[in-house]
Amino acid sequence: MKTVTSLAANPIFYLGLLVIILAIFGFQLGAYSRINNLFLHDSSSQNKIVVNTLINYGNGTSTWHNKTDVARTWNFYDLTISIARVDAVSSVGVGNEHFIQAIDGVRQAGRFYWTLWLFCQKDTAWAASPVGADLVKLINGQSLAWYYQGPSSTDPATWQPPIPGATKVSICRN
Amino acid sequence: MFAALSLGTNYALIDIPNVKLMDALVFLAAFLFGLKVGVAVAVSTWGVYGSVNPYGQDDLILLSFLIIGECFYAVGASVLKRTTVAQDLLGAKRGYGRFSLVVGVTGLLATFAYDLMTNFASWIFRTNSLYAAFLIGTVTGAPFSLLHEGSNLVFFATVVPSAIIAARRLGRNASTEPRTK
Repeated sequence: MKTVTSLAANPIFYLGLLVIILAIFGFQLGAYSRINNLFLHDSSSQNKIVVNTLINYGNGTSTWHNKTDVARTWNFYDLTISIARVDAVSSVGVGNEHFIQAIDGVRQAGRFYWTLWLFCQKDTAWAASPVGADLVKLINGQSLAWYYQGPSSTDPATWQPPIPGATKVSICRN
Repeated sequence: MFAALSLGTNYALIDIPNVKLMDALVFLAAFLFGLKVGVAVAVSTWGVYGSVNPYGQDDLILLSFLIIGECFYAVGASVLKRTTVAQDLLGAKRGYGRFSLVVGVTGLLATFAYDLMTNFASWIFRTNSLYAAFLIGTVTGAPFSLLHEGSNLVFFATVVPSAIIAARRLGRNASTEPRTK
């Protein structure tokens, strides 16, 4: 055994390590705080907003829910559980997010599962949401969709839009 | 053995996204047995886990990025092992706490690099520019990155140094035991 020497004995070195830890978590928290305003901006100041939701059950049945009294503070998960019977598991991850397993009794099975879509006003096209329902902040006049399908891969580029034949983009223009 | 442990713990923790012991095991394999072993564990684990996964199969491009990213842990371990800081702390009488911090930060840096690269890779063919892919990948991946980096900081600061120190003690004891002919 020997005593600690050189850099390993320098307190400044360990202070530097702590700064690295703080810098990395600061960076990620900063990125996390940008999620809600990365894609969509809402200039409306109303407390209640109007949101249209399409649920495509993947068996030829689709239902539109045109809801006019949605609280501004809701996210898409809150909206979904207010318009449909939802079975979801809560993740222990950041923000206590939910993984949707079934909507109105239509349950994920094999490679079939529920995909989440946003309608992009500027593109007049649908885009697969890059984040989960809990992280989708609702804006006035917005249209969203759930589509039950069995894509060949987890890559959203291979998914079909919730309305057959509708235009699809990879991401909404801001 | 490390690859089997990684796969076993990955499937056991399947319901907790981005919290996995695999990264720590790859790091440990490289630290104890060298870079080649660490890289082999990373490649073989992802080869199976990326193909047989209840959340779906990874496409080849994303899988390539995941494998390269996983190798960061092996490289990090290999570099750390060669540093005088690690050698000094491992040989010191009371260097364990500081060694934990050093290993924790090394693991955190490797995880940060892994997350930046794989989040970028997820968007590389879905955006108009590399900058947009980096920006969108970083922002949309942030919740998962936070969880991944937080859990890895804990694993790397506790499990990995304990295992390294235990392995060194075992090795030392084994080498000083009397041998029978």
